[in-house]
Amino acid sequence: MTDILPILPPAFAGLAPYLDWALPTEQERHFRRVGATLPEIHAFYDAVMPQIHAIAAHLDTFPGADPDALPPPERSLYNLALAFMEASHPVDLNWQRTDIDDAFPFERMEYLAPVDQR
Amino acid sequence: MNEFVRTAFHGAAGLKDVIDLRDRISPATFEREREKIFKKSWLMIGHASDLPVDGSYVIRELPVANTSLIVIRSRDGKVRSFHNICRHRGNKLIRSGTGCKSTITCGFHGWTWANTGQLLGVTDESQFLNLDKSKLGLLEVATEVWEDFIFINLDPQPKETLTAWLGELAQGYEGYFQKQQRVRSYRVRVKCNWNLAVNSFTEGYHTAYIHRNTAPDYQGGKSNPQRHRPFMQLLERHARYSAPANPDHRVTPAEGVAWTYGPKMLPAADFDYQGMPPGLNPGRAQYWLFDVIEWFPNVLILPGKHYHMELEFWPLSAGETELTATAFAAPPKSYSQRISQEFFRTRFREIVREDMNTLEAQQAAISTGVMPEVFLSQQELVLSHHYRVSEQMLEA
Repeated sequence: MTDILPILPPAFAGLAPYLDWALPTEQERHFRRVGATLPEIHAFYDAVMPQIHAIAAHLDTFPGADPDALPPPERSLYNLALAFMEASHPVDLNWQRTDIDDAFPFERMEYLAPVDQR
Repeated sequence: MNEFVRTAFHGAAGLKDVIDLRDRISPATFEREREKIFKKSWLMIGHASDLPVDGSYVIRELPVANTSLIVIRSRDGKVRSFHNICRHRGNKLIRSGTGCKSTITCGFHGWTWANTGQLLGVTDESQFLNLDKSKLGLLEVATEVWEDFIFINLDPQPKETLTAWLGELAQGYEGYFQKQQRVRSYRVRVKCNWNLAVNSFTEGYHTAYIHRNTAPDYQGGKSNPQRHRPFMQLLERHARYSAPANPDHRVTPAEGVAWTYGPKMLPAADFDYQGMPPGLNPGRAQYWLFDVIEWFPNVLILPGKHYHMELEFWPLSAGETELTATAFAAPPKSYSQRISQEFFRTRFREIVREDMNTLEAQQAAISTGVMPEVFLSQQELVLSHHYRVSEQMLEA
């Protein structure tokens, strides 16, 4: 288990209002998205999109690719970037809801974590 | 008239385009399938890379065969499978899960086996009057590894080797699967017959409709507006076809971010086919997205250039199936590559959720029994092939 401190690296402090998206597992991020409102998803997407390349560049200054090896602020930033991808589908695909019509209920899915969900 | 893509069919002669699904989902048929198909076929049950060291094991429950297996890497390096049964009084040896054991000891009376299956020790042995320990090894199930896949065959005397069973599909994938690792996996239980569930993923006709919200333009395009499969091959048991990529797929903004940091994956296509094993894109389509391979009876493999998906359909009863959908990709080397993969894996999940959502509705509709026949498009011939192979095995 990973305890995530709700802080971000100083250069990305402006994203602090969106820290409640920075969840450590896919299931939590997915549930966060479908539980949000569409305007909330758009606001999150619009806030992160202009900084996503800077986020990627900052994270890549750390060696390797193991999320657990990141310092807590960078781990939060990384989780936020994954949540951005989770939130991108309704925005990029112009959905009128936070979840797809005609999709298998997410509550009935078991998120297996053979490697990780990170 | 435009030159649209036409399907190159191989082995499709004689396939019916009208089938009756009502009998296929009946409990009586399912009981015959258990004996004649699931206990006679090579079944893919896992990955050798999940058993990294001597003694690594996984417990696989197989309700379709009413058994539980210990799948273990023995001390000689060979992957073996044993019925999860104590040879003394029939206790279940290992309850569940994964782990590593050089020996397996029953918790009931303390008998111990090597991880090769050989009986090593019987407690208070002098009280047994007629015990031949050499005959009380664990009950072994035929197990073979192909590429990274572990297959088992519950037939005590399998009629053919795994290589013969795979036939033409045994070649052409050398090393491909080992380069990718599991990046996400989902499991659902659906109230749907396993055949119908497999069928839902083995035709491309549905893609323009069911996936309109998640992958509206990933297949087809101007040269192939109806998304005809460029290549379809019906083999002795298995089948495969290629999905046509749309060369004019519009990359959306977040998707563009993803492809900045990693290779193009679903819903985009990488048209540089250099370095692909020869089994992929077997028809050498110009615009290729991925292949769909049905390993009869219950596994689908969808290999693309930089990823593959595996779908397993395990019947629980005539009307209920456990479906596992797993995505694989190259191990990420950086955090930005992980972010790139997150786009792919979450989009993959949403596409699969759409496929899953037709299953229970279709089961309910077919099981009313009021619809006598189903009319199949040429694009849906893998379904007809699946039932032809099934009938051959049921009648054998």
